[in-house]
Formats: sequence, C-alpha cells, structure tokens
Amino acid sequence: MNGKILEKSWLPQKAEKDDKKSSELKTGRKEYFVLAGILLLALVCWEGLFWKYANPGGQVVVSRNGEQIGSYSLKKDQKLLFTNQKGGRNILVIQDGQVSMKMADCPDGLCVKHKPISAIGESIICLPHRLVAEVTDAIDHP
Amino acid sequence: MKIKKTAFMGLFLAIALILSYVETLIPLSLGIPGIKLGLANLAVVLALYEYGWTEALLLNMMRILLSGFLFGNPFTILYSMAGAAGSFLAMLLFKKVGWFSVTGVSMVGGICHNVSQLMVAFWVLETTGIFFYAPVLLAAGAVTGFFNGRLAEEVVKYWRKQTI
Repeated sequence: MNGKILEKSWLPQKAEKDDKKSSELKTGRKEYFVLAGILLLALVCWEGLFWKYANPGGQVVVSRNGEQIGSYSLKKDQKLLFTNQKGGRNILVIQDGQVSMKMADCPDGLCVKHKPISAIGESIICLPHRLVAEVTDAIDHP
Repeated sequence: MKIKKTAFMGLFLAIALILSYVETLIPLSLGIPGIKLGLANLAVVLALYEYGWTEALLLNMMRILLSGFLFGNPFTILYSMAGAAGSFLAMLLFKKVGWFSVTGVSMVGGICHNVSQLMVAFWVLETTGIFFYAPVLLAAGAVTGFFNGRLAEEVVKYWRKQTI
C-alpha cells in the first residue's frame, strides 16, 4: 500500500510534470505583444471618440432607467435636485458650461468624484440611482 | 493533503480579503470612477494554478461576498460578481487553451473583468454614453492584469519550488 503511493509520487515523474508546466511560468513575447496591441487599440478608440465628440455641448440631458427626465442648457448656471422613487438624491450643478455632480447619497458616491463634463458625449453616471447626465448638442435650446 | 489544502484555501481567502482592503486604501483616479488595481485577483490566479477551477471559483465567490459585506454594499457585490464572472470564464478558457503564461491569462482576466462590468452598466443604464469609458477601461484592465499576472507568476514559481 505504502509502496504504491510512493511509486506514484516518485521524483523523476514529478520533474517531468514540472517541465511540461514550466512554459506557463514564463512571460514571453506573446504577452507583451498582446498588451501593446490592447493599449494601441484603446488609444485609437480614445482618439476616435475625441475626434467625434470633442466639441463643447449645448445642453445636458438627464435620464433615469434609460428614460429622459429633463434637459438643461449649459449656458445657464444652475443647481438641480433629482430624487428617485426611493428617496435617493443627486444634486447636479451647471457652472460655466461645465456639469458636475455636487452631491449624491448613493452608497458608493463615485459619481461625485467624476471630473466635470462639458463636451458632447461625455456623461456622469450614478449607477446605484440609475441616473445618467449626458452632454449633447443644443438642439432643444436654439 | 486535504487538510493542507483546506489550510491553504483559508490562507488564500485571507490574502484576497487583505488585498481587497488594500485596494480600497489606494484611490486610483483616472478621471473616471471604478478603476481598481484588481490585486485580489492575485489570490484567485494562485488558486487557479495551484488547485483548479472549482477551488478558484469558490475562492472568488467567497472573496466577493465577504469583501462586499466588509467594505462595500449589496450593489457593489452584484457589480463585482458580474466582473468576476466574465473575468473568471475568460481566464479559465485561456488557461485551458494554453497560449499564454500566467501573465497573459491574468491580463485577459483583467480586460474581461472591465468589459463585462461595462456591459452590465450598459444593460442597467441603457445609455450608449457609457462606452465613452471603454478605451480607458480596456487599457486599465490590460495594464493592471499584466502586472498582477507578473506578480502571480513569480509567486507560483516560488510556490512550486517550495512545497512538495
């Protein structure tokens, strides 16, 4: 019984197994190429997005659960309070053509840390309250 | 052997939780919220390479639940679950195929983690504006995944030398 167990874990056998697996433990060129490729792709997407969207927006469209609940001109400085059905609040501030989330009582508060937005396509998202503020063109405010 | 494994699984879980905590201490601000170092994935990768996918899956679930209750809220748990599911499946697939080393597998995991979270966010919010985040998330996932993978690779190497 004991002999059998010993035989199974006999040293040469283990070494062979390790050899087979050792390629897993070597970062080769492949990984660097893939990393570089992904970074390049990200850069291209980033530039592409900016090429398309780097225009100052005219209004901010606010929606909840994918439904639009209001649009506000960026030219007018204002403070907006949004309350959802459960009483969750967000305060959106428009100042000098920039939109920022001043306050949110959601659990993570990530949207408050978001940098102010002003270009078309940029958005601030409060995931817990499912609130999205997106800067768009100023079609509604001629 | 079983007892040893149990002990090490406990150790891995502890490491994962500590790394989750360390993550909350390091704010990584790239203009958009939600980017993390993904350090806790180190423990998952270790379990994946040392024991197998069932153990790694168990560890991953426990890690998310516990760290979610400790440092987050039910919402973050759900969100992390989505990211972890995508990341874990991708890592499993790429480990099985065998093209990549530990580093590559971890990198794929990092990318897929961010991509699946983006998908969930898109599904919840129904706004295409969220894809504005895609390039940054893609790059961040690749970079953090890569460096975590390098780290994991060294640890696995050392691990295999030390334990019988």
